[in-house]
Amino acid sequence: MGHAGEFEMLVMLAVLRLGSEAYGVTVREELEQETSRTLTLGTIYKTLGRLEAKGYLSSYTSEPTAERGGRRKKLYEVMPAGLAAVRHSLTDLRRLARGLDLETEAP
Amino acid sequence: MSCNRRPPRLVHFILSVLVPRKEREYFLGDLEESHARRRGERDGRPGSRSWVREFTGALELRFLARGTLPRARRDGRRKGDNMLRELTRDLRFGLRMMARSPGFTTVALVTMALGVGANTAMFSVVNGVLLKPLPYPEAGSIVFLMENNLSRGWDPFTISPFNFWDWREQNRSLELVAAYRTRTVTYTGGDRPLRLSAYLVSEEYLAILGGEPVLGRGFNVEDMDPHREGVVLLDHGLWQQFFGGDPEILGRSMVLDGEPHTVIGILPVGWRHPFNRSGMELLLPLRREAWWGRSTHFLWGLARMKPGVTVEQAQADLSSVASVLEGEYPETNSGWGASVRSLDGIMLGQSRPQLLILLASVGLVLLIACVNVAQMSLARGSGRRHEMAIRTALGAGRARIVRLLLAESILLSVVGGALGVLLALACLKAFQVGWSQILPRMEEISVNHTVLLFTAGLSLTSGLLFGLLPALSVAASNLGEALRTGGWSITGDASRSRLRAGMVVVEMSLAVVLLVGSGLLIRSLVALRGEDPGFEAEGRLALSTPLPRSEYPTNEERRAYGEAVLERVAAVPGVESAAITTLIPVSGQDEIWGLEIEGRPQSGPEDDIAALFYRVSPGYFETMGIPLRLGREFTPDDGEGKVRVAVVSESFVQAHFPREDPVGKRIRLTADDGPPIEIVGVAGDVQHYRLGQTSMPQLYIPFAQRPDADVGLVVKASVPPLTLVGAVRNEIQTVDPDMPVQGVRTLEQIIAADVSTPRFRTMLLTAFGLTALLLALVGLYGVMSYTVAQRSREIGMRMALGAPQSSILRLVLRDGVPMVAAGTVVGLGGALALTRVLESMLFGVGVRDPAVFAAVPLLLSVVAVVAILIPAVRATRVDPVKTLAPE
Repeated sequence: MGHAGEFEMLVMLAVLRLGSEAYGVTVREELEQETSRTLTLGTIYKTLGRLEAKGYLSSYTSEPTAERGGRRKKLYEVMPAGLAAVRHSLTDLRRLARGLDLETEAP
Repeated sequence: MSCNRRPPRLVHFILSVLVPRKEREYFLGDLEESHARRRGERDGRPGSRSWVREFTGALELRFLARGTLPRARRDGRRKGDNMLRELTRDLRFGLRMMARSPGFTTVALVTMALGVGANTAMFSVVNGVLLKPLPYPEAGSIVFLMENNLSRGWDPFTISPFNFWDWREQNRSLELVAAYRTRTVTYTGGDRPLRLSAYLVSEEYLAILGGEPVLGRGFNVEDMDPHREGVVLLDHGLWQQFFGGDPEILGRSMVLDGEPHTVIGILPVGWRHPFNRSGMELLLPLRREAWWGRSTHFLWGLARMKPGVTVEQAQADLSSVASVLEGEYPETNSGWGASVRSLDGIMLGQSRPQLLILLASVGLVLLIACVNVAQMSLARGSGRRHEMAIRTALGAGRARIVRLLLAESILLSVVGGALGVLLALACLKAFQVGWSQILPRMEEISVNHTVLLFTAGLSLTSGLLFGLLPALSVAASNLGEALRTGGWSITGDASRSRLRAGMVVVEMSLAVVLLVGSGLLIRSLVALRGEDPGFEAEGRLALSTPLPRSEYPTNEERRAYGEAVLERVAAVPGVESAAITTLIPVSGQDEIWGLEIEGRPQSGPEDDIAALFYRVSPGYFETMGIPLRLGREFTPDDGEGKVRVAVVSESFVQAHFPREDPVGKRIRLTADDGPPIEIVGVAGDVQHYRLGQTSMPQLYIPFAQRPDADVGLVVKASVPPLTLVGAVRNEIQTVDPDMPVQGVRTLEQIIAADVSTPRFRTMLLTAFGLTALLLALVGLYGVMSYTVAQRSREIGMRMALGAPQSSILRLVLRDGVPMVAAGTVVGLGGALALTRVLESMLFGVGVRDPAVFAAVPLLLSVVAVVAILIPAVRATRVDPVKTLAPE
């Protein structure tokens, strides 16, 4: 069973949320909005490429648009292996968090 | 303000090279799309910082993704990997080499740091002052409006309000037109009375300059109504300093010149009037006053041109409006035209050519520094031929060796560049403290990323420049021979020594060019300082106590104030004499009045006579040390109700009474219907505006006969004048405790401030010239030491055979002198061609001043001969037995 790092998890969740509109710009915006970090496109590309190499994501290209200076988009979707890895990591997280009181201040 | 539609082309290009080709299209597409989106969202530019971030992200993508990619994808990058690894190895080798020869490394680093540091500092000044757009929206379409009267030589001149209104109505090229004038006002209500600079502006002013208030509102048409209560806009600094940034400030009242003014708005942080260098200002509405007319000139204009209109078109448009007015109002307007200039042209003025010349000069210094380091590497390279030969024998290709040596020199230049940036920061701090009044926009100068990019490029280029030649030369030499002989040659390779000599010639000639330039500036500064201002500056103190018009509305009160203050100040111990004057020469104030001479009817406006209008108390000429040429000066008897009298300057006499005795002649002021004024004396000329600039003739009137609110005081002291400041201030405030005392300076300080701009450029250019000379000498010395060392066996042999020391010295001089001579001749030729660019900055000296052109070669030959002889003398002191002994 494969594993995904924290940031890889976040990226895959973002791709899942975005459905058929997941590509560099939207993934970055989604992550910046929901996690309030500042990210560069380079970081996003690096992670997307790595996840694709691991077989968690697959990509296809769209038609070029004028907004992008006539360039095509590379769109991503989550593969079954990726979905399994997300589930696996989430399960691990929940299991480890069980019984811990994380809502109130640490002692 | 630039509003880029697309990412800067350079950033785009760099990113596209960095990103792996497979991803390039998508990456650039995403980049452009998110750029467009962000712009849409907050209507802001993403700013250069976000480009820097994207850049690092792309770097990461290029270089760091490797380790985490599966093996199959990595294989394609083998070659790149090797290159990276070799580069690291070369750099590490370079570091080791630097550490192994600390002497060479130190000298090379200091040289590069000096060269790059001076360039970085100069470039940040140029960048801040000339290259950055002015801090106003669409600054390129803002123009500055003035009037002129070319037939009388008044260009530029302030605008009459009536003409201004007609311009505003009748022009076709301007979108918004605003007028303003400056005034200082007294603010009471704080701890002590304070003078503040105020701008009286019409309602369009803020719209043109983009000063949208952060709090409250700007001026509207109703605010211009003279019958309404006063309103005021504060700048951000003033609001912070006097009201602690109180957000409840709007609607509060501020007493300015004794009148209440309601605060209606706060200007944004950092916003200021284009010509205000001191900061701290307030804006008041420009309200019409009763005395305004078509022949009263006192306004400046600012306008925003309609889109697509050029400055030339706006000028043509306003000129035609002005000529229509000339036809309509011949009495007041004949000769008056309009002048339209771009705002940045007006603001930067002479600074542009000056800074560009300084930047070019400092570029030459860097060139010399590069040549110098190249020379040292070359000399060292000869010593390392053995090492390189071994490397070649072990299988290193020529390209490999060149790369190795290049990596070393680039490392040197980059470290030197980093040191240079530190040096530049220190220099800029010094600039800002000492010279903030000299250059416009000095406060905008900083070492920002543009400057750093420039410096990085400069360092790399210099590294290549001084590394390539020695590297190629070493790599190209006959290695087999180098291995065999192990250094047993007489004078080294002939072509290489020619190269070295050529470098010395280049260095010498560049140094000569810079030295001639700084010599000319020094000569003209000396001439300027030797210029007689017409008064004696030593031991004199000047200050002004502008009377608030609301407290001193009448002439009687102003006269009484003047008399009381004079009496008290004159009694202060250490004060020899004191006098009142409304104008202090060279301090930048003026007041000009038109007048006519009795018995000379005027046939037209071109017969108008104008003069600088000084109102002074008895004792002024004595206190200032202005000589009286004819007649008498004022006495206490020349008071109110007595015969009105005047003293005129020599230039006034030359212009209007060339063959007559002026004493006893009578004049009449144009804007005055009182009795005529009798000339009772003639005083020496005073340089009123600046030293070395011919000024208008002067007319002196007794203060008592025509008091004014702009009261200035000059004091002649028998002790160091600044020690009297406290006592004089006390006396003034005994007369009026609310009276602000400002502009306290000695006359010597006023004169020094006047020559501060020429002094600034002279100091900089001289510093560059001397640095160039020093570097060139180090280069010459290095080459001569090397040559002498190469010939040590020959010299030893000659001495063993009984040659006297002098013949050895002659031998060495014969090697060095031709280089110096050639460098000097080439440099003088270059200087003859180049110094013309300095013409506008010279005073009292020609661009081909023979003294400078003679002194520079003389100075150079003396120091050069010393640089040549030191190694020569050292060689003759060495025991011949040692140099001749086999290794």
